[in-house]
Amino acid sequence: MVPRCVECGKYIYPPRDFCPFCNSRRTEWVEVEGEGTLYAFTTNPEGLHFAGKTVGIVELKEGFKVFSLINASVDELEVGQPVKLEFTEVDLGGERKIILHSFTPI
Amino acid sequence: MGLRVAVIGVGLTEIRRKWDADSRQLAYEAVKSALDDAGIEPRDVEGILTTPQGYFTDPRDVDRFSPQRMGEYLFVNAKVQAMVDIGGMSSMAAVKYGVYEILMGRCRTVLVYASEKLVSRERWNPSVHGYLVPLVNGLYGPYDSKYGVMRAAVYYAMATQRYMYEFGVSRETIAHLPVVLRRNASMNEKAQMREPITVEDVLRSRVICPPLRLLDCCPTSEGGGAVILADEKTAKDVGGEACYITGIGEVHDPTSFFPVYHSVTEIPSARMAVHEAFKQAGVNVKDVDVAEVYGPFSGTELMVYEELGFFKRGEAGKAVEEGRTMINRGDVALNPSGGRLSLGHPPYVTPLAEIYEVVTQLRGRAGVRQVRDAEVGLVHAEHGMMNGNIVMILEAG
Repeated sequence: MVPRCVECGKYIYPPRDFCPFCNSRRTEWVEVEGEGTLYAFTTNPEGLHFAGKTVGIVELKEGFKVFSLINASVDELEVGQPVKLEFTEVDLGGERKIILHSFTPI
Repeated sequence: MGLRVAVIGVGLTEIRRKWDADSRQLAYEAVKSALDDAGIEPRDVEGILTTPQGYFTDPRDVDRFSPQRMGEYLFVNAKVQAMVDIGGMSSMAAVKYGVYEILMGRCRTVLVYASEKLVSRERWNPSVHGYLVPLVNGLYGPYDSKYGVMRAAVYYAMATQRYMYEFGVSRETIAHLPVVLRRNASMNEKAQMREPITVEDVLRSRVICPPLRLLDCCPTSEGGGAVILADEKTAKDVGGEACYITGIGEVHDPTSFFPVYHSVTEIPSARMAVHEAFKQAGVNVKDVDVAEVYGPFSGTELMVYEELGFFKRGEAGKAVEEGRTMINRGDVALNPSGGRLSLGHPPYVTPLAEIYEVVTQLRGRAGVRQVRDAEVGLVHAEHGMMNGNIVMILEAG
């Protein structure tokens, strides 16, 4: 879910409680379809919990970009290819877990 | 009346991977060199501005009271002391605030200094340094940091990938830039990386974040730098080799790392900042003889060359390949010091190292790497991944 401006209809990412495009204070959280294209990708070499994993920027159909985990190796990917949203549970060690969005090539 | 604030003294330690000296010693060394260069005494310093000592820094090198300590060391009643922190452009922003102190007539001279120290792998001790991990991870904001980002190279790699994709620039073309920078650094006794390299070396070096390889990336570096500013009358009284800051531009994107709202191959804030600086100085890009540009990674450095106006979009790689950025070969000498890739890149010190190089060039004292007839210089710095940009124009006295 992402905030969208009730007045101009634009999606607001990273989320804010006002619309940076038209300055409206009226925003609502809406669901996105979860489909988009891969804008760019690389390997996160020594990232915490994600060492060696692929990360990327996805341009969603709704017209904004997000940084996310890409569920494929860099050799299998191409700029512009369609991807879809998933949710990945990550074990942070101990009892700690986190659920993050990720994208998988279609 | 245009802007005209003097740089009367510059100091820079060697840039090295590791210094035994601590952050204070590096700062004092650079400051003493700058005072000697300016021909003034410690008691002549009226303002003291600095930056933090690094992001991944041992607690013994962190000094949040660094300006106060410098005032104590110099034993002066300073009229301003402050620590400026706005990422990689911090020390250039500090120079800008120093310029303002002088323009306001509050100070006749302002010292700006920075030193950078890092925790080395060999000395890494989780119980002492572990707290730095979430701090560095946290630099990447509440959303991206959850994916464990620990270095900006991840973003720079993706920007380079888009640059290659959008403009059809080859990996090999980009590899010419580190080679040119290394060649410049081989003539600079302060540079960290001085062994000549070839395009093949770059293309064969190990992958860091694809498409970036080791030799596309700046090394980790330590060092210290200092700049002394003065009003024009004081500069003339002192009688040294002053250069003048004649234009300043600064613009920040409404983004903190990956630019969400525009193409990552565009840097609108750099374009706006250079426009502002040129306009104030009354010069244009064709007048620039020498520039020090803040490019921590090869692909992005090419994009910055373009956004500062030296080349058209998508064409900087070819220009570098043709030698058009080399000292006394082409249109303009870009990063004659060796740049971030080969001079070395202690981020808080880098803007002062850039000013050091451009002032040295404008004075005609750069020795074997001297740019002929250098009269107009440009320095550039940024924060985030080019999310904020600052540009200064310097002219020979």
